[in-house]
Amino acid sequence: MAGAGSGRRNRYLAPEATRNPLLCLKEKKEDNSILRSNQLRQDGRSCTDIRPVSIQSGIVSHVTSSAYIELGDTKVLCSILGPRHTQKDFNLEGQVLCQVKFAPFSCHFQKPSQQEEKFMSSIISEAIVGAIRTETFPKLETLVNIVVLENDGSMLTAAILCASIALATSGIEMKDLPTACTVSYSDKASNIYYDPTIAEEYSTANENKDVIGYKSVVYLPLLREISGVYQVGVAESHSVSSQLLEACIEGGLRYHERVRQYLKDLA
Amino acid sequence: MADRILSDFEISYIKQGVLADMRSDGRSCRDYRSFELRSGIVSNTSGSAEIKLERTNILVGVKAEIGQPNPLNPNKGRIEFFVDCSALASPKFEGRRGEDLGRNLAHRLSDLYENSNCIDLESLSIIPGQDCWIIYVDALVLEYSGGVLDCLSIAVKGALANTKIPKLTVIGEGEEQEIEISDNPFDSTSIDTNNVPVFVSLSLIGNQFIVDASHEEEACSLCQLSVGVNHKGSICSILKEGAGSFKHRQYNEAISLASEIGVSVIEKITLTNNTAPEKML
Amino acid sequence: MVLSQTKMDLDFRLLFPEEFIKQILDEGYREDGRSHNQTRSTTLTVGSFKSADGSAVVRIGGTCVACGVKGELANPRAISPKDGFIVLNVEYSLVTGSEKLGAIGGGEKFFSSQSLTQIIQDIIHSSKFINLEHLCIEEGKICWSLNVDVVVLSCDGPVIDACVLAAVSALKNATLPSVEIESEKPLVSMATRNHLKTGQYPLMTSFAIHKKEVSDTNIGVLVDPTDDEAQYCTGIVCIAVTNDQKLTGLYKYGGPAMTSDDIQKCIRKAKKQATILVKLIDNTMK
Repeated sequence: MAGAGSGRRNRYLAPEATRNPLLCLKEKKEDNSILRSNQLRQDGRSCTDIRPVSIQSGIVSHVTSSAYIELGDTKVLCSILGPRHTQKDFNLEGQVLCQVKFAPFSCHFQKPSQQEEKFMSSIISEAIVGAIRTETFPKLETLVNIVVLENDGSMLTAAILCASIALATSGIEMKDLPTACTVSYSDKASNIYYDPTIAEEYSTANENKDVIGYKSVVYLPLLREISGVYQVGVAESHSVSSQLLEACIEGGLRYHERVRQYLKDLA
Repeated sequence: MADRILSDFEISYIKQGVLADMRSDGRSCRDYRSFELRSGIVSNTSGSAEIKLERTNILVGVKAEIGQPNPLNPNKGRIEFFVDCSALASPKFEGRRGEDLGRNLAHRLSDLYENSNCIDLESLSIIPGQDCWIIYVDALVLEYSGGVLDCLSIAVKGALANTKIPKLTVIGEGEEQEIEISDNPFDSTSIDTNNVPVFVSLSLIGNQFIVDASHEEEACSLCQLSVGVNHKGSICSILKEGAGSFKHRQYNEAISLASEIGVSVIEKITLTNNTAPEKML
Repeated sequence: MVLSQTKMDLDFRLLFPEEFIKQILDEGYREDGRSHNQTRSTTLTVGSFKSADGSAVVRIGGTCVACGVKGELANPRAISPKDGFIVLNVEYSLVTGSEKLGAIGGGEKFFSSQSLTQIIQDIIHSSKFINLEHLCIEEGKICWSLNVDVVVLSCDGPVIDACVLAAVSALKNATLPSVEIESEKPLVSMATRNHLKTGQYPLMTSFAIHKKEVSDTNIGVLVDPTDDEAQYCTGIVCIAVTNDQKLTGLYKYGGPAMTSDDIQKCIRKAKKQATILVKLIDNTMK
């Protein structure tokens, strides 16, 4: 596993191959389960509690608008540029281009590859474009740039909420304010964990046997429509999927309240 | 994935057809087109399959090689996917434009296989931490006319079912372990692909999700849901693509439809595999 | 003294930004009310990113820079078996908008991310801030390789000052787990974490230089220029001073020729600024 990841320019000083110290641990983690004996999670939350949300806007200079959100330890910054002139072909609808990048120090193990960043970018851009009135800026494009400074689970949720707040403060006309929520689930959805941390999220690198998958949903609360779904892991039947969907929408509405409160206080 | 430009009349014709549950080719919203799956057609691979569904044609070859495992999972083997959308499949893949789509499809496949734990990767490990089997799955899109993700997943499942991995023995202990591959070409194991899921894509036209959209139908759909389904009808993956949005009820109906369709598609694949003649070496 | 913001002033500023800045600077004022010799206040936060072994976030006015340090295990080079590695990288993150909009701001105009990486790497190595031998675990076998990643989040002025401060603070804040060697394999114990042994560290101050219209030989020097001021000025001087007031780097890019008196004035100001920053670092690290 090369330590000099993609895009590193300082190759002449970097060693050829490096190992992540987390792979050479002396002590194995004793307690890997999500729930402790008192039915609370490792950080003291119950299964349905979401982490405290902290929001700030207008941090970045020389851009149209920006927002910063913290979901517990997950920290995401978003800036909006535009609408502005584009070199691309004529289009009656304005274009919204979204790019997500992870900071090199944002993940405990390796940061996601470029392909995965592109994948996340396309999910987010297709989810938020439904809420933007793109007919108000034909022939122009708007850039939504998102940087993940620290990833401690629920990254998609944080990115969507951050983009919503930045769009709301940018002056671009919106039909709705997208909200999102991530839940991870155990076998047969007997336990649904809202807003999982990175240790509670399902991944093949995770040794946690309690969770078998997670689902992220992007929801438009005013239109009452779902504009983004991403589910991994095996859900036993389609009714389990529906259960998870209901949970995500309920969580999304809670975040929506919080965002609305912030925007009201801002005005 | 839509690249056909349709006139307003064509779009309205398709939408009205969907509303009346009578699509342009006479199918209902729930009908899957018939496809032809042949396996064991390429001789110098460990396994192969070809799928033809109307005008979409995909060829998949599988090769098994020995290599190093992923440091994060030293006791497991690996599967690597590569999809080539060459220019001969469609004029829009001229030059390097097909690369993006190819990478996307490969990523969807590896996401599905990794997260649904469908293949026992531990059985592919030879010496933990040192050597393992790496299964290289290479797909070539020969002709492209929509429904590519579904066809790709079916062909990959067929090719993996057809794959033969040579038997080997590990001699020695500790640092001095060596691998000895059996001389007999018929001495091989196969991969258990019973749990391998396939993708079922549903496109939203108007207010209705339809299964197995044709090229024209894809061009006027608002968004697509691609659902990974295994032989038990369990949902292994869901991804929504495209800029549209939908209500709960439509989503729930779509997922249950995908589950049913997925099970019947896999039944058909198993039937094909069992009746296909064994490839003679 | 803050300038009055009448409608005409704002219109003039929008239509002729260069002219506006030039006139203000010639009169001895600055747009945000500072004097030519005044810096903006700096805020420093350390240890906010738990995924990194050490981190720091620096804000100087509108400029915001985050730095994270992650340690990885590597094999030392054959020619220097006792040395570890410090791999530093500076990047302008997407959110600054600078890459797309072309050269905007004093940051991108003078320093691309490659030049920033090179300059800061040179300063950190030459000031002997961290002795690479301290990163060695077992000579010739295993050593630490520190990936220091500086990400510029917002550009409004001397990005290089903020980057140096962030890199230095993150390294001072970094803790590495202890490593034992057992049968040629490293075993990492997360239970004990040790800070890095650090020596004297560099601190950077930037000055923008412009020629005064009034007299050809007179050079105007602005400390801590904002974005717009840097656009108008033709040259930049960056001075690195260690925490014990020794000069460790002097860079001058473009602009009119300066006399040695001008340079001495800048060095004195840089030394004063260094004392302020040293106090800030000490207060934050407690």
